[in-house]
Amino acid sequence: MSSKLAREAGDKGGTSTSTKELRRDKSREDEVESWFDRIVKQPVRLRYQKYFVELVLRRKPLPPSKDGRHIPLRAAHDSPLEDERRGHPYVSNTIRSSRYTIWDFIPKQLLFQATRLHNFYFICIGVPQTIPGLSTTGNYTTILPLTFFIILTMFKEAYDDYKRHKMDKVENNQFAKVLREKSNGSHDGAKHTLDFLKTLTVPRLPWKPRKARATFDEVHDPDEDEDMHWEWIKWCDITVGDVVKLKRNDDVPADLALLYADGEDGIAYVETMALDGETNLKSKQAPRGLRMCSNIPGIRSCAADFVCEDPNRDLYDFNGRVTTNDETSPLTLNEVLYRGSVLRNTTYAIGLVVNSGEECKIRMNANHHPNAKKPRLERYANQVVLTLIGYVVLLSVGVSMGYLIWHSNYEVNAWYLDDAYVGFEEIIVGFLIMFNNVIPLSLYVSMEIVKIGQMIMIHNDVNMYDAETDTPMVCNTNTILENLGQVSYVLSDKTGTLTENVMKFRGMSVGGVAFTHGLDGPREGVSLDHRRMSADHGVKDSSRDMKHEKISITVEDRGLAPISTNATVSHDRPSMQQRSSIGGIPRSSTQGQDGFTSTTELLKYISEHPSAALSKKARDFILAMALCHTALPETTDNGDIKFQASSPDELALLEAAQDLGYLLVQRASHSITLLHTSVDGEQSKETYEILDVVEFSSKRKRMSIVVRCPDGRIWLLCKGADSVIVPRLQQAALASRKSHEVRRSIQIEREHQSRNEQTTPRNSFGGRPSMTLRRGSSMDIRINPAAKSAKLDVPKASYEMAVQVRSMDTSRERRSGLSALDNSAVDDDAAVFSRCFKHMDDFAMQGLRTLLYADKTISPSEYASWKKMYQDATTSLVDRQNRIETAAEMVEQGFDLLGASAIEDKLQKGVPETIDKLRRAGIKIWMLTGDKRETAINIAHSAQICKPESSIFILDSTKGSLEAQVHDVVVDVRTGCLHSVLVIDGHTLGQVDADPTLKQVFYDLIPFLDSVICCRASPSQKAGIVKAIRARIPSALTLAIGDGANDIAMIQSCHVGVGISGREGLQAARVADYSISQFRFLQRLLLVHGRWNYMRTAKFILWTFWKEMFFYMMQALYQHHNGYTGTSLYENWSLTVLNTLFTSLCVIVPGIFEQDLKAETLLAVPELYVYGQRNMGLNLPYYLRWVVLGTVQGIIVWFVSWAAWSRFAKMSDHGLFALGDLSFTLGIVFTNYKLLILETHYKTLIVAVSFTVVVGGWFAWNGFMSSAYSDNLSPYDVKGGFTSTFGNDPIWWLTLIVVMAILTVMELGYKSIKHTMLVAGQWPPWKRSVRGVNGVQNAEELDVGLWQALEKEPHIRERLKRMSDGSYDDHDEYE
Amino acid sequence: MEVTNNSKVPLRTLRSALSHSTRRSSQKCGDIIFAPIGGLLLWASAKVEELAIDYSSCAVNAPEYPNFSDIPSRQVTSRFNTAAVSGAQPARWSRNTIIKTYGPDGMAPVNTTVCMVQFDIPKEIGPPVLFYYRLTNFYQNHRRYVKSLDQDQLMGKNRSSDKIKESDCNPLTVEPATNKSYYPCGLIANSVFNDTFFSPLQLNVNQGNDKNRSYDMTNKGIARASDKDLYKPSAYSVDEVVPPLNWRERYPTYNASFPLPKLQEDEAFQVWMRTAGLPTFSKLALRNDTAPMPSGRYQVDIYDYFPVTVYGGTKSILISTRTAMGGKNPFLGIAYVVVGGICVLLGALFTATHLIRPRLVVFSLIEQRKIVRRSPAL
Repeated sequence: MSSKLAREAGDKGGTSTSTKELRRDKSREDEVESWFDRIVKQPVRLRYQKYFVELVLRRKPLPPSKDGRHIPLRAAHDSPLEDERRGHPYVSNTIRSSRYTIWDFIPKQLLFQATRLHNFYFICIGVPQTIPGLSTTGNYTTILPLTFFIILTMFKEAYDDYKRHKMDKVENNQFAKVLREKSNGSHDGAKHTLDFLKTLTVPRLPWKPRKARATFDEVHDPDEDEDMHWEWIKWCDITVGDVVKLKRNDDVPADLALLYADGEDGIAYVETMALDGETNLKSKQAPRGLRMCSNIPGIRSCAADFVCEDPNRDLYDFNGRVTTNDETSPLTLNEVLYRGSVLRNTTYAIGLVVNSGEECKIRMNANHHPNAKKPRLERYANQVVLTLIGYVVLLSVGVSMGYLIWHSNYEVNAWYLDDAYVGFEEIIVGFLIMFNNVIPLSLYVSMEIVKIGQMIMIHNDVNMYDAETDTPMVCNTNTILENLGQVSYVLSDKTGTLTENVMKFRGMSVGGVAFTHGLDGPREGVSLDHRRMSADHGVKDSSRDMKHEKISITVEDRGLAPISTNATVSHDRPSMQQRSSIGGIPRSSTQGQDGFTSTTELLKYISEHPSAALSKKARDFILAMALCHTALPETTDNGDIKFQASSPDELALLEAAQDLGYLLVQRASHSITLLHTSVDGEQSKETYEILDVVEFSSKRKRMSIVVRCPDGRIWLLCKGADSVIVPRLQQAALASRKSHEVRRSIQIEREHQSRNEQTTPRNSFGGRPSMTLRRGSSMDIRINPAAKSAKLDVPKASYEMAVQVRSMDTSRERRSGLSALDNSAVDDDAAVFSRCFKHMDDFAMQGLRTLLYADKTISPSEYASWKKMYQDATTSLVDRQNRIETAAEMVEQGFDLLGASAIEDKLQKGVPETIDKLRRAGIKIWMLTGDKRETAINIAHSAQICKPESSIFILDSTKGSLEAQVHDVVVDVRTGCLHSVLVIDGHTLGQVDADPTLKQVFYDLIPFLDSVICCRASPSQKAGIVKAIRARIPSALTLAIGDGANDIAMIQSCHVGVGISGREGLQAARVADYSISQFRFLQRLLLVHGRWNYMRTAKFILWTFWKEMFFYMMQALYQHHNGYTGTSLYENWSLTVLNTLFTSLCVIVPGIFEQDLKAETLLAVPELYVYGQRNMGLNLPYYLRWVVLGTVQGIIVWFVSWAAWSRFAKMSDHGLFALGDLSFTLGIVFTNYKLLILETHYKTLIVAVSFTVVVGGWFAWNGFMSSAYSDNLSPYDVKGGFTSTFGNDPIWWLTLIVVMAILTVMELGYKSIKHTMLVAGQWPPWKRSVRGVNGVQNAEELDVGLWQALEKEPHIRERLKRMSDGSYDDHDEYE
Repeated sequence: MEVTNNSKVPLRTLRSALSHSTRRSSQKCGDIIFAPIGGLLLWASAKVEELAIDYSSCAVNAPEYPNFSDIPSRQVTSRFNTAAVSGAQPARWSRNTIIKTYGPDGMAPVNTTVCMVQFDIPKEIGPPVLFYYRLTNFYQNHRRYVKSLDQDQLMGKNRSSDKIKESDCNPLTVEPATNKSYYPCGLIANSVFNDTFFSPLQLNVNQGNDKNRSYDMTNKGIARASDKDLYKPSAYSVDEVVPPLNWRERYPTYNASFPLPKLQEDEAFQVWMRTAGLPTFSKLALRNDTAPMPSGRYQVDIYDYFPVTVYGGTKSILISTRTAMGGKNPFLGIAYVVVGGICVLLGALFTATHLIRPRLVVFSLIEQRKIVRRSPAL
């Protein structure tokens, strides 16, 4: 299918469905979400909707009006028009993207902040803490940092909103010319002029670069009469019913119904980039009945009534009608200018405001509160938090119990503690408050910082910057960065994602003859060569293997492999006729050049034999290419003609038509002018009158145009996918029969070829014989079915033989030549059909996109009757699209086949390598495309999605029982495939979806498939597949990558959406979470940054919990020494700033900068990616290990410092602070030392500086506290402590050092032992199966530590580096 | 050629020489530094002379004066840096009950148990000689107790009863009957350690009449110098406040005869108010920084008021000298030695494995789609 079809499918189907999809998707997601979301998030969301959206943003759902809004066209309205739905005047044209006003900011934000889960938790802890007596850790240790963080967030929010306010103001205060009654002459005018001048100083909206703004003299519009004139009105004052006059390059201030345009035929051109991202100009035309509205008197005299649909967010559909003098004409997309578009190439246009302000389409579409995707790791983090909450509660209860026991054993007897009993609630609440910081308040804030840092790191990676198009990598979402490291499914679009989306016309098939194009001209076929090359690349190694090694196929266990699993394989022997046709098409560029007719020859032939049947057909075909499109020619300054096409395919076709002598020079609304240049340079202009255009839709998969030729003939041209054109041909039955025949023979041919390209040794190592067998059975070389475990040597010559056969055929065709072409053959439909289909399949085999062209001549009477019906359909207000389709269907019958075109879509650079690496990384790659199956499979082959050893299963609903097919595939896949690829088309998928049992079986198969190619998939189907994967394999993380609007639904329903900011506009890139400019950057994004970020975030979470665990262990242990009464070991202020100042950098810095392995290693050994997929960075055993570690280390710190400093010593300071400060200092120094120095692998200057700053800062803080603290008798006698009492005691310092030494020896000892054992192959000691000095291990099973060690070896580093950039040569190994 | 299953990624060999030389430098460093420090600390700790006698049960177990009996040996710790002196006597104790009167005119007679403790100082020690009392199982760090004081009141401010009620002194703020504030209020002040220690008396110095000689120790300079600033003469008049409950024996009430205590001069009180972080603690009571304490037999008289047995605690006197490294602290030295030892051990271990294990280890690296596995012997 053509890219245009696919693309417009996206435009029409994609985006409109995407919102629905999104909604459905969300509800689906809710189902799988945890109880946590159900209980906490959903009520919050509901309340948010109820109070925030409806109350604050005043976006209550309105009842629909009876039949749309009625807007009479009047020069002036006495009173503002009333909105039937509201009973008030229509909303003003003010837009408001800001969320708050200056008055409601604080209360709303406070409410909003308080309802965020973690804030809520900390408020619950922090508020009771401020009550005196409850807390022993100071009253403000939670509430102060919390307030700080909340204020920080609020400030950020306020700043963002301020910016929005400013931009809103700029936008609302722009001026537009609106028709108004004169109110006392020039005085007012002068005032407005002044106002206007003021606006010139208003800063421009940054996203709307504009050429010259209206010049001053335009202020005086000559067009006025006694009462009315065009007045400069602020945008915000425009209301529905106003008449607005726009000049060239003006922004459209509201949704307008076009009344008049100055262009030819009343056409206005608009650019809608801001709306849908499409860069091409769109033509808009005023309804015919409104011709007189070109000036004020005209408008005054025109009494038209507009009826429009209620405001909605569908950008691709507009329903309305306009009635003038009993004549009703439709109001469609074609007559309406949306706010957000810009008037281009049109001197001026006049429009009637139909939607204003927030009811404009662009505002309705604006995503006010995009729902953030959730990171996968958050789930684990939340589980960890939950366990920690359990831990805190357990600890608190335990210690409280300790107090009760102590109380009854001791306190009651202690006379000095009379009445000092602490109530149980106070005790337990006190402990809860004390230990609540085990769940660090800073986690969420630091996480934000880490995410931002990570985003900047990715952002600044110059290796993902495409210099060619000057596109850097863009992060739209920073919350799910670590998801990039856990992807197990990549769902890729084809066009523009795997391929470059630069279309080149490469060939055509007319009258049974195939022509190549652009191979001998200036656009010499590098790309074809390239494609060929990349296709070869995959088999390069194997072919060399073939040369070097003896090929053997081991066929064994035949019984396990059903022969006919692949239902499409035919066992028929191809007829000779078919074989000859196989040879008749270009197989490769080389053959194309020496064996095929090029289009230049065709031109020559046409000029020599102008009346030959082939010439006629060819001319018609070229004309069809030049006529059947929706593109616009644009004359550039230097006189060249550039085409404004909505898809690159149309562009390619038009350029081809230009090359072939028909240049589109002008396209008015009702005519197309072509400049015909004959071979001898003669030029003539031909004008075709456009009668009707039935536009493309994803459902129709075709477009038609009805033109009146210069000779008066009414000619219907249609282009579209073969599947829709063939049934509409005059000889549909014959055509489809031929089509099937050809397809069958093609398959045989392909089996043959792929068998020869197959690296046969590969079959043996997987022990997967069925594929080979199956192939064999459909080939000339038959294998005796009885032969079990037969070992046969495939003659190496067979491939060459096949080539010879083909080239023989080719040469025969060549000999026959064009001149010898039998014209009768052109008329022989059967032959033409079969050849044409053969050519098409062959084009597709080369990865070319094919379109079929068909035509028919309509008699005037037939046309007239159809026209009437069509007119009715197009003006219909209800169900218009369906009626148009039905009407079109009536006329789109009985076509004659014109021919087929083939367009090349070049594979992007580095795609096969990238896909190969992703596959090695354990990522399954699915290709979802709108293209036809053959093209898809071919691209899949050259992109390495299908490998030579792959078993390809094709599900095709037209090939018999689907159930049987699916069943066969299931059996085959389960018995074990090397690499299984399933090909399914959209139609079949639809049928699968419709049948519940089949669906169950099919989707159960998903986890076992290595790749799936889904061709001819609609946008919603693409999204459906994503959802199916997500539902079936909840643990798998999906990534969708695409570039066009048709991928939006898929991108949004995936865990991670990646957009290619390519040539197809920025729609996908804008909604995607990440956008890159080339597919090959995906490997760096996933393998390097994804892994890094996963590892960083995992470590960040683990380390954060570890440090809190560690830190509060000492606090908990101290409780034993104070009768479990809750006296805090730590001083309040230090505790307050602990997480903010002294233990934040040690997790944030590695969280942003850590690289456990070098990028080169990760790229060279993609297998290392499983680290994230298998969640090896943050899982329960690992987490528990860290918990135990933190506990043990806390115990060591406490007991050693307790023993050394107090138990066995006569301290110079027996106070609590000296002891507490010792633990605190140890806590901070060791935390930073361990995390920054021992754990962080990638030690940069930043790490060193952070360590120095934090540790130095801590001692500075101690000094500061020691002098700044007020002197009193508080238990924490800080004053002078650090500077004079314990700070001068060598014992204090020696204790500090010895504890550090013990911990360090412990850490380093463990590491050294582990490292030594790793090197010796003895690690882990409990896993004896994989070890062994000389044993082979899979890369992913090697410990990271080993890789880190390997990296340090210079020669290995060198090799890894070469492997990573693909320049690694196997021969190095053999030296 | 060897063929592997594709479910595992095909591997290809890559030779690698991995040495493990990186991590041991720090441990070597540990060997060199930690053990000597440990030795030094042990030596310093050994230099410290120390004598501790637990007299908690003196009032019950000691015989009436003039009889003396041996103090159970587990209640005596004598660590002197000298060989055992022949003829050394065990520490002994005796008790006597007298009536001690407090107040200017002896207006507050208090039944007082005097505990007399005799012990040997086998060698001349000090100066300085520090006299501590040590309490065990006394929770000065109790959550309520530790905060139970009013800084402003101690600073001499006239704090009204209402203010005191709201202050940290809780639960000992005002006398319920009179609604007068305690001065000083709070649990800490109330439970001030009120045993009185007298300077050690050296026995039988001369065989003559004047056979005993006092080794004078002072209770000045026992508190932190800065602590004086925390106490000021009180602005209360004597009828505004009442003494804490536990003070009543010696201070029945405040009046002209019983003026408000001069807390700013009472260093023992100041020492007490600096709460200890752990339930076992020693606080300085007396000191002599000038003269050495000659060897000989000493007797210390103690007015024994402070009840410890009710809550299962003990109280001891502690006579100690001090070095630059502080008091006796064998643990730290041992810790250093142990750390140094472990470092040596690990170092040896790694050197051993390093020698035994071959340096050359072959690793497998993945090579794209290659199924050739070379023999590791290459």
